[in-house]
Amino acid sequence: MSFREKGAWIVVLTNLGVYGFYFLALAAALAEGRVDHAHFIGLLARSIALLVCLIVTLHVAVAILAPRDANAPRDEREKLIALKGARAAYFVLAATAVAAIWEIIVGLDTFLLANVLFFGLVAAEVVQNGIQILHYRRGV
Amino acid sequence: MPTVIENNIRRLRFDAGEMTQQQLADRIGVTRQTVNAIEQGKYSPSLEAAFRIAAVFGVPLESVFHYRP
Repeated sequence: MSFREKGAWIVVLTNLGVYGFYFLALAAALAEGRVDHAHFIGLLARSIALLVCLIVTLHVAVAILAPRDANAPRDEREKLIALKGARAAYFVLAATAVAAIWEIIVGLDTFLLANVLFFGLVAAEVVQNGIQILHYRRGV
Repeated sequence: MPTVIENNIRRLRFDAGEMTQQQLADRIGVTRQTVNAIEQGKYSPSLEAAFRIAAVFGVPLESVFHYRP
């Protein structure tokens, strides 16, 4: 498995784990109809900090194990795979933008709007790296 | 997603004294995983990379790659 494929796995798994927990907690609070904004802003800040630490630590660990791969520039196949991932992520971001516009029109509160936008960013990141993994595994 | 382009890179590497995928990758400027993907038919290289592979083995392009529609 190449360094960049490992990196894609790291991004997908850490995003799903950390932000999955955050959004599940938020969804549960929304379902119960009692959302403490301050609590969730704090939880989000801690989630972001945890994610950054995890991604940096795991990338450094993988780079130490395979320094040659980590230092090599992307080759033509890796560039193509990165572009395919970015293209898929664009559609997720576009859908998020449409959802955000609709929420502004119907007058959704800014806390939820911010969370929808953040969810779109996370989903785009997961899709981008997930599509890359798919192409690394199945071919491009 | 297998490609319709087949290749003889594995045999050519064998004929070149069991050249490793890493050695070939270093000579054509790609990663070992990309050489492996090309060999497995999971990636069709650019024309430039294809010519570089043929040049490494000192054979014409059509001795390395074949199109199978």
